[in-house]
Amino acid sequence: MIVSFNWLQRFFERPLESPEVVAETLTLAGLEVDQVKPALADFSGVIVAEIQEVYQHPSADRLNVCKVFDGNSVVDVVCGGVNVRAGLKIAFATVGAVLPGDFRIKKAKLRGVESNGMICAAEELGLPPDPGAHVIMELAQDAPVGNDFRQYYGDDTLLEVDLTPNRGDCASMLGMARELAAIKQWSFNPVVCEAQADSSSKTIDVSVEDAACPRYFARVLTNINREAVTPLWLRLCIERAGIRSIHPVVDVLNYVMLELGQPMHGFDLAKLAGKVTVRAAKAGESLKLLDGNVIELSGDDKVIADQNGPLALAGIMGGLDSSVTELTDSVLLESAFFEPSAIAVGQRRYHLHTDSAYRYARGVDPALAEQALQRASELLLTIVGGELGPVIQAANTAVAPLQVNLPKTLPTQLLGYAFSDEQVVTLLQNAGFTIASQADHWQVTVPSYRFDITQAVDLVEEVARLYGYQNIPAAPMPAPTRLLPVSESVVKPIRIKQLLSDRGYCETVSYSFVDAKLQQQLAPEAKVVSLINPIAKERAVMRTQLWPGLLEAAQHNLRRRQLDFKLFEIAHVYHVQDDQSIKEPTHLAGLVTGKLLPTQWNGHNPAAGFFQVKQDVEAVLALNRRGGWQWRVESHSVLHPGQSAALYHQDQLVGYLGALHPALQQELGLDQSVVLFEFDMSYLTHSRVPYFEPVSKFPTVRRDLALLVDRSVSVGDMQAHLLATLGENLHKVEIFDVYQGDKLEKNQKSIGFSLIFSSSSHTLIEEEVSRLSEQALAALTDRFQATLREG
Amino acid sequence: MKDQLQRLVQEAEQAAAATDRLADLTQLKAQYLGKKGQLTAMLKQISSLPVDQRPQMGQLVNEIKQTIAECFQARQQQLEQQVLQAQLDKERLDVTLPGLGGESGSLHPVTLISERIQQLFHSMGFVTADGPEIEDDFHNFTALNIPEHHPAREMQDTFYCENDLLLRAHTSSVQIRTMLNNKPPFRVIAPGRVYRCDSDRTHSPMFHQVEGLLIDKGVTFAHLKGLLQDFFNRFFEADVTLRFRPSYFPFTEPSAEVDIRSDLLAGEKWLEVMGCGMVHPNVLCNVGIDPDEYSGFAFGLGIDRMAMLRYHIPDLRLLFENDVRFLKQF
Repeated sequence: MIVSFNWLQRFFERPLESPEVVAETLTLAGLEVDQVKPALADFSGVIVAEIQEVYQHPSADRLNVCKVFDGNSVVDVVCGGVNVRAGLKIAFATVGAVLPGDFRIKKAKLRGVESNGMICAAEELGLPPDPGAHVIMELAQDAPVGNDFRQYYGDDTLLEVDLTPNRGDCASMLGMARELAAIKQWSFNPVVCEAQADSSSKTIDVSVEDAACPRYFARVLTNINREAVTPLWLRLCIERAGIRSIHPVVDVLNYVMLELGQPMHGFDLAKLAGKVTVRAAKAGESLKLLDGNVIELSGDDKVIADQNGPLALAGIMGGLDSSVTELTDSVLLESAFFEPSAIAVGQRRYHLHTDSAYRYARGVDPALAEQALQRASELLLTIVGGELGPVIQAANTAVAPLQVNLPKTLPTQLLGYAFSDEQVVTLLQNAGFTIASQADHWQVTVPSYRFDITQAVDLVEEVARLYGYQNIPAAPMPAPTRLLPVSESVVKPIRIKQLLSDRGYCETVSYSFVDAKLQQQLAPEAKVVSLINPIAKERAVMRTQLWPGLLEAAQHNLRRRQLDFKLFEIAHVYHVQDDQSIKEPTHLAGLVTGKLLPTQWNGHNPAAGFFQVKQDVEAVLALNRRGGWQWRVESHSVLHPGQSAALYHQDQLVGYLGALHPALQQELGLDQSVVLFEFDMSYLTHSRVPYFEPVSKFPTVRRDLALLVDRSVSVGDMQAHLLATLGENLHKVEIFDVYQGDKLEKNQKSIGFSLIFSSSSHTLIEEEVSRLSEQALAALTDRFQATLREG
Repeated sequence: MKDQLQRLVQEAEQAAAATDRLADLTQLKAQYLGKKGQLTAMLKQISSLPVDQRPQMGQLVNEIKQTIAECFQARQQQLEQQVLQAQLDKERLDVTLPGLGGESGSLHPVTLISERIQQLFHSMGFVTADGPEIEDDFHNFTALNIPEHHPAREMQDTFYCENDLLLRAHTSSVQIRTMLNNKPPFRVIAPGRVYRCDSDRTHSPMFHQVEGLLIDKGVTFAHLKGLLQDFFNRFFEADVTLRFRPSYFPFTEPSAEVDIRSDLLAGEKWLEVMGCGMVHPNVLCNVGIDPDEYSGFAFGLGIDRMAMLRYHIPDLRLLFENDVRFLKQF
């Protein structure tokens, strides 16, 4: 809603404070003023003048020399505008004038002829092109020669108010004035809507057949002056509010809407056939709207129709075929009240955000319908003339005013500030509420324009708002009386984040919606949630895993020559279950590429590989003190078949770790190898409270075993098998060497195990240790055909 | 024999001084003082002397022995010192070289701010809650007093999915889940991702909010003002001026927007940072809480916005590009 400061001033006898102060006042009462700006661009020295004579420039075909009368004297001005002619009233920049962009007008000689000023085009003054799209701005014939142009052209300040959806009552100048008066406890001049007497008996049969239209007033205006133009003052009012000037009749109706808040419509009477009805649309009906679009109507749309079908989408937009044009000589004026919900539905269905629908959806004062019709009649008679028919009351259902009981204690109880009864009553009365005091409550009658007040708490807000939120003192919030529970058997996500960050990982946050193609590449089997209205085609599906975001981040960074990085993200992913319900587990995922470390001066800086990343993952796993993790050789379509592992916890799949499959890496345009991991966080965050285990008093004994096995054997399986078979005396199995290469047969590898034995009851003697070592060898030989490596 | 002993001292002193290696010195020391050394041999000769001379000579030999031992001791210390010095010289490092190994990574600014906000509210007894991001109409709109055709639904252009689901437009949906599943009083803080169809320098289709909810007996708007004033002062570690401006949210009444102003931030300019208000009685009724018994407030704070203010980040989109040169700054 754009508010003209001058127009607002006309509602008050007292001079208003500056536009900035008014803006602040409105803002602090909940009518947020986004911007205060001058209506006219920054220029000076421009006056209204008249061209008296026009000559051809003696030495330039395209230029004219004009004799311009500025109210005092006549000066020569050279001008190239094609529409200059004797008698034209113009905006004239005198010598010394400053135009927008600090453009100074000086005396000049143009091809030998002296020019004393400039005849302005609308654009040169920062104005919209004038209605006739003339090069030189053509002022009305009654424009007062010699007057300052700014004054003539309605110098003004505009306040752009961002209305919240509950305040439809403020979507008019009347509403804004009423609101300002309520806040400041001022009186204001209401708009006088005098009844305009009929001057003809011309009428039309209108009937209302739908409950969504409790009030419908209409009137016929015949024989209007087709030559009439919209007066400048009115055109400026609507243009500055952002409405295009179209036709004097339409302009007047829009003006009344801006003034009072009542949307109105004008039909070309000649285009109407038979009886007019306000009714629900019928399936199969269509309507060509004013904007040229044809809509197929549905049964919950409300329309104005004649015997041939719909003429207008009620309260939202008129139809093109019955619209007022320059050929129109009689109109049917409409001023109605439609139920907000009926209009909101249509507005949303057709995405028609018109000024009319905006107001109806938020609630238009039902009391306005008849007044606005009279107000429009009055203005139309002055501007387009014609004969007024009698007012047609097609529907005039009385709307009973709403009454709300406000308990007298409620304002203080909710606001925490002790309001006196008089304070509450005065504040509400100023805002137009009628109050009857009862023993413990007030019976409050809500004015017909306030659709937002339906219960006691709404009145409490009204009291607080008018009193000023800033005037309600803050009170300290009482502290809680109980300590919060703190669990020691969970690993908080922040702990995992900190651990990874300390190990060199940067935390990322990437979009939850990803490219359907990438999602498909990474998880071809997964069922996804798709968005009906994505922000972009590449963000159309909800990710089922975090890798897409990390891979996008890798692409982004590699393209910017950032080659070495470790990234991770912890976020929800979205899984469609078999019953179509959606689960949102939290995942942890990471991506590592490039060198493991920043440049090292000792030259020791390997590329980050599977095992370096595995160590980071193992550090995360160690946080939860539970054990029970198992790495399995398992392939994953996204990962390198020989460098991928699945992590299990007690036979439940937790996630994967591995190098990105080289084929996919190439497809994604990544020039270097990448290691990825992704796990379900729910397994990582379960922990346990530590429970002390006695430390053995007896020394440990180490025995090394160098073994040969087939390359396909997993060391992890061997390790697990040893721990499972040897029992409590095998304290730990370490791997000190893995070798495969020239010195061995092709399918062999050599593994060096360090077996660390201990006992909780005694120092192990040599025979025991030897026996245990032999058992270990036997177990591995048995299960994995391991042999002792010679030498 | 006396002379012989004197000579021996001189000889030993010269020999010790001429020895540069500790091992040689030990050997040399044995030549003089060892069991088969010269002094031992001389001590043995004493028995062949007349009885009256023996004590005197014995004492002399012992003195000489002492002198020679001290001489070797001194030389030994000297050599040890030299060895240590040589080792130290050899082990000298250019300590101005950088440390070896990896650098630390970083936490995302959204995490830093979210943790900071949670930490502050935890100290006032708030607990953290989480909820789904793919929501149904009931939790995102209806239960929050936003009926089907309400104009408020236009305020936030929501992302819709199939099956009447949507991406939550605010963390307020967590309010409903919390209140439905628990009994008052409540002090809850719910950080998380939210989604709206909007994308420019200050709007992202995905961003982060933290929802706060406090329901108890006798909670007032004045308490809301007090708690938020405290919060912003603590958050920015500065005196922040707050402005509560009436606004409209269907789920609170009275509703307010909070603007802040501080020399630390944009100076004279008011910055809009938060929406808040007293929980609407319709919302309390929707979740089975008696509004005559309980009252409370809710607030929604933009985490990304707070990160931008706190860390002077000019463009919201930087937060989601994941450029490592950006990430490593936090």
